[in-house]
Amino acid sequence: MKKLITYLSLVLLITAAVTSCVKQKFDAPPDSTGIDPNLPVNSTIWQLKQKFNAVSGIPVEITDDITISGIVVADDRSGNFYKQIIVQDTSSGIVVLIGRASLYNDFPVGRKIYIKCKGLYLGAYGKFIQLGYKPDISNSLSDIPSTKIVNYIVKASFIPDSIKPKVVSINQLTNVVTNEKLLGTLIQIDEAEFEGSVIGQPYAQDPNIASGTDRMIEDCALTQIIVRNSGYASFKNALLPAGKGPIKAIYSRYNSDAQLLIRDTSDVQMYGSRCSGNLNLVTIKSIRQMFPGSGNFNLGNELKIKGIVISDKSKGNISANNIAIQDATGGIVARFTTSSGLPSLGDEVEINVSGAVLSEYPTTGGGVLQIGGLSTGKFIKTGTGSITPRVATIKQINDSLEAWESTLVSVSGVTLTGGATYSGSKTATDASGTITLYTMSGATFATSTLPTTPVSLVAIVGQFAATKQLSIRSLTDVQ
Amino acid sequence: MNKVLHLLISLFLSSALFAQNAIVSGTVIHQDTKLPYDEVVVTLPQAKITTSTDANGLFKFSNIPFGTYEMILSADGINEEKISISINAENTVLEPIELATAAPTSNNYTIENSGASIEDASSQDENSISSAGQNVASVLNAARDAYLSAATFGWGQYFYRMRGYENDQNVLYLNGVPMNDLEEGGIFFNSFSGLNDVFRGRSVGLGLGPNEFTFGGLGLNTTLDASASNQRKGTRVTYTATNRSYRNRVMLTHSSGLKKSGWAYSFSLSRRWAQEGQIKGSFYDAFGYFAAIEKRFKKHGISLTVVGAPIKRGKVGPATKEAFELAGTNYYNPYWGYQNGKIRNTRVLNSHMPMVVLSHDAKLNSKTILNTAVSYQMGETYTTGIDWYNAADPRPDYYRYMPSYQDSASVSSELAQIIKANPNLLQVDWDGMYEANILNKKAGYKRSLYIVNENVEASKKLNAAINLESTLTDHITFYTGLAYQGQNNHNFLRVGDLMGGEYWVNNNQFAEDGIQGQVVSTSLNVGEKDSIRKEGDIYGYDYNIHFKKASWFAQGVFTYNKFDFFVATELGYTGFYRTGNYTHGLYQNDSKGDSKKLNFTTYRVKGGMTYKLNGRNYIYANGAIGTKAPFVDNIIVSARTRNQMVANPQNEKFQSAEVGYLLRTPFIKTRLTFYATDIKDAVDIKRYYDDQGGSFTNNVLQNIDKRYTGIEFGAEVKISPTLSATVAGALSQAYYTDRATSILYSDNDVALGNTANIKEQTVYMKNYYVPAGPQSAFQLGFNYRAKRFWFATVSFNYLANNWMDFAPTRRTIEGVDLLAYNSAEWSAAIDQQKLPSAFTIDIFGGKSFKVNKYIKKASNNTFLNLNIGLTNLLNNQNILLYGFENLRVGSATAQPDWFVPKYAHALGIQYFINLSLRF
Repeated sequence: MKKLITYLSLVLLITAAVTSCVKQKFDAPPDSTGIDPNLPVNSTIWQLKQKFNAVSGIPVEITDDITISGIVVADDRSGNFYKQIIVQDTSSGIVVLIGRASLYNDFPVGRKIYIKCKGLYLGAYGKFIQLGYKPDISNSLSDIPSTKIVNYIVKASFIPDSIKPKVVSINQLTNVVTNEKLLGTLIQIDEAEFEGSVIGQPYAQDPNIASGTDRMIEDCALTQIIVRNSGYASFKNALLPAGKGPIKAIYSRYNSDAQLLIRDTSDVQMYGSRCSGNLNLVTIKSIRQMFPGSGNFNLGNELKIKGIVISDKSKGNISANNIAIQDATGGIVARFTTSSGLPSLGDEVEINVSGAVLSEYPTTGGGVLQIGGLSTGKFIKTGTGSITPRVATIKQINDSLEAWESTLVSVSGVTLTGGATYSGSKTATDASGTITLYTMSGATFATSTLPTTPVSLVAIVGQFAATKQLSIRSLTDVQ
Repeated sequence: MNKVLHLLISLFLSSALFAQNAIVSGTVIHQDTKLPYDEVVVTLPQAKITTSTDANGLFKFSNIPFGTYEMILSADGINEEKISISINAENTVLEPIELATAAPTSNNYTIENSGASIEDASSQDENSISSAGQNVASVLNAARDAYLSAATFGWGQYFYRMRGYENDQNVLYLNGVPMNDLEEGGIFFNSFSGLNDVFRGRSVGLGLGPNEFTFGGLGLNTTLDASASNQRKGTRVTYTATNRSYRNRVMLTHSSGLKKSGWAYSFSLSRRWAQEGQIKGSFYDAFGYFAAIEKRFKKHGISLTVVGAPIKRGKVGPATKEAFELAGTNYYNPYWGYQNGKIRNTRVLNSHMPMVVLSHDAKLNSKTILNTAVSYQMGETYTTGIDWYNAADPRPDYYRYMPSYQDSASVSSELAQIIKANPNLLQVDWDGMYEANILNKKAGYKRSLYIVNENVEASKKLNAAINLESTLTDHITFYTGLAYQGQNNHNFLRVGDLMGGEYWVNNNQFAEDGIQGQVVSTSLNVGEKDSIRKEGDIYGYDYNIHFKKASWFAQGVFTYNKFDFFVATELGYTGFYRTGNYTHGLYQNDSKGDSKKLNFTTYRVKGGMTYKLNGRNYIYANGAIGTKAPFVDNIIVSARTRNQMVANPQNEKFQSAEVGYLLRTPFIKTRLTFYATDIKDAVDIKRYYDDQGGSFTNNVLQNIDKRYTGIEFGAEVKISPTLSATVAGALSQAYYTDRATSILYSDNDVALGNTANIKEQTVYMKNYYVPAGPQSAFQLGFNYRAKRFWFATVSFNYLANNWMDFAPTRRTIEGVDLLAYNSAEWSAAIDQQKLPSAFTIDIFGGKSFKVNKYIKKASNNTFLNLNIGLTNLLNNQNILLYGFENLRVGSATAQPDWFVPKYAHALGIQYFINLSLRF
């Protein structure tokens, strides 16, 4: 019995020890995102922004007890904004610089915040007004130190999508000076598309190349505005959409340039058909046939052509502003107003030729037909492809020169004579006849040695006044 | 050489031929239970010689002249029993001596009554496992050796490591099976901690001497016995109050003793807990259970033991000097923070690895014993952590949040002020993480931005050993054995707590932005159906490591009057490979499936001799040479991602020698040992996130050569019958004897095939110290033992020469690039830091009460023991346990202030009060 009591008491002791539990279950903290502390607000954002002297650009310390409130309209979730958020009220919006990463953990888009501005500074970057901390000697504001956030920013309720963007047109945005109130706010353009030359390219280049990349959007009147994307944005590798549609963005400026800053690619809903969508696709042959034979001819509206680039700008044996494109019906030279950003050999492109000018170069005595005055915004790369050269003798080429102009031909058993190198006019001879092989002195292969044994050639057919000629793209065209 | 051999042979012959002296051996057993009586001091006053019995009750004297002697036996140092013996044969084996069981006075303090426990040392950091291992093992024999006692009780908690060795040089056998883990080589005491009552030491030895079941390691070789028949009969209840990693401990143990029927059983339960240990955020919640049953037959016995210890505790992290200063305490712990006003630790260790051991021993004949044992262990150990996606780094001591990171001095000092005014800024912001998840969810993103994850190692271990011990002649004992260990470790990350979010995604966020301008696969498991993860799901990495180890060992021990010899050898095989369960997006051809299977064969040989000048003075010398297989962790470059292995994996080679002098008289016991060990061709991989390169990096160090050398000394001097003094010391040096070669495998470079960046460098680390804890240690102690069952001890300890772990990348040509040679900056970048020396005072005391003196009803065998201890009496809170340089810095010119070393401090004054009732 005594033993039993002993054991029972032991069991009790052990039970007591075992149940004297170490508390390790944790409640989830309550959701505080519905609470608004209702601090008294004594200034609008617009009133605050006006304290900054935009002319001198010198930062000003806010010495009064100013409290503003607003809704976060841009955060750093995607990385397109870094160490900053944008806050907007009914009057205007402003950038707030905060020295911490992942600000959206605390201040996501849709969160209402109060900012107690006393002790903070107003400054600007590229004249875009910011609220931040002490400036450096170059008048750049520093970020509000992360440990001081609580001193200045008070979190309030969170209502996603509480700000509806103001719908505007690109035209209304281009003058940043008259739109000071709109700067720093969320806007929407209903009908916009990326310019044709950048479609299919990434939103931003790698940050090793550029920290940010400007991509132009335009409306159907071809009025453009910059969309600036950070090389550190998570969407930097996403491809620009080809369609047309609404875009939401923060309206900002960099000096006199207006620029739009998106929060993420979900702000870009360009899925409709483009402005050029109602253009009539015509064959290159039909364009060629429109040319009256001399002078300048203005092409009508609503025309586009589609073909594959057969020239190689990288080798320099074509005028820098020109490309030669060919479709199933023929070829033609497209001449742009700039030499940069042109499509490359093998690109399949669609060119809006509405209102463009047809002419020959040289203008007299026979020349190559070209569509001139094109801006790079006029073409869209739609893919890639290749053209199989037409196999022909030199006699056949000479005979069909006008029809075959600006198309690829392949000739075999050709002897090249007339000099030691490719540069300039040389004579190509096969069993059927001769033709000039012309190479521009600026071509990368101009000083290469002309082969002495018979070769096969792939070349673009052309003419210069009375001279019928062939031009190779690179030495790989000579076998 | 020949001359020496001749001399040895002639000495041996002379002692054999002209033996006037004898080897005397005997066994002491408990009068009541007839079980072996250990720790009994046996003295022959006329011969001025003393020894004590081992776990088998055995004692042995050598070199005793023939004659008649009075022999004194004492179990508690107070009550003595005198018997007369006569020695007239070269090998005199005495009849078993029965001794009345003494009251359980504390004539020495052990782990079980000191209140200390292995978890104390290991609670600071994983790094401490090595010292923890030694703690437990050495305690078993602490009373017999002043040096071991000092190393355990005085120095162990300050990360002193015997001879500076890593934990893998310490070998543990439990009930006859090898216990060392195959992945890291060390001993996981977590699996059976808290069961101090039942794990009894069978033998322990430091260094190169012979062992019972195994060739042994270079360090401490311990054999524990937890079989039921060896447990002290009766019941024992213990309560401990302390202020270390836990605050309360209860233990209950009941053992049947060996019954007439041949059965014995024993069980033990324990619980240790603390809502908060001495350091903030470090809660403790551990159980231990043990059950054993044994049946003894006439010639053999079979024993089954089940043991396990579910443990849960909040860890304490090391921190920078800056953080300690900001926090205003050396016990700043960056791992915890408030959640809803309650302290929650981010890094919680959870472990439960139950084990079954089945062992059988058979006396084949009067001279031969065969032991067979098999164990199986399985379970999980994991530590929690925080994982985050596209969110701020939640570690409060992240270097970018520190004042030192700020651009200007004014911002720095301002930030320091703010942090000092609001210490919570230095703790984890649980509420903030929850809020981020909730906001994100409300914004329509259901993914958690922060989660608690679990870094799991699920392990299965099958260990077996068969050992034969045969006494061939009076002089020769032969041991041989086979041991096998198989182990399968399943390593993975698991979603623990979604913290208010709805899921986690199994994606490699470091690859999302591409690598070095290239778009790469972000999948962590290419081709999996669904990358959504909920609580309890595996994510991140998932792989198994398979191990096999087998060895054969043989040993001959030769005992003569003047000399003892032994020679031992071992042939071993170690094999391992990785099986990836995930196809990692960056290493699609090298992550899933089996890696190359590596096999290593090893050999080890050792031998030694003890020369007995007389019964009191001994000189001994031992030597060992051999090879050791590398550990998988140092061979697979990045097991979490891929199968890649280091180039040319090879065995490490060692040579070790020790020479010692031993004096045993009734008044003074002394041991002085000189040792030297060379280890060559070791390999080590240091892994870290390279901030500047933006990539996880594996720094493979090969051809590491190390030397461990020094002198150990311990003496116990009996000043009076009640007062004794101990002096112990260690003067050692562990250092690198050569430059190592280093290859940086940046995960990004490997993924992209940038082999040009993966090139060999030389690490200029010759003569740097191995970070091996304090390399000099001294103790002076006084032990007073009164007649009335009480004792008191005071000890003074001094520890010095604790060298910090250093970053190899800094000791390369690139590491000091652009620093003027021999300039102050250059020295600051590469000189190895020494941690300050430490002085401590510890006191212990205890008293034992015979309960029936006070309560007549109590049985004669009922004792109440009270033990009290105070360690670090001076409350020195500045003692650094260890420090390590930040591995992140490749170049010393790149803001060295950001990547400063981290340290951990030893606890200040600690108490324990231990009360145990035995009946």
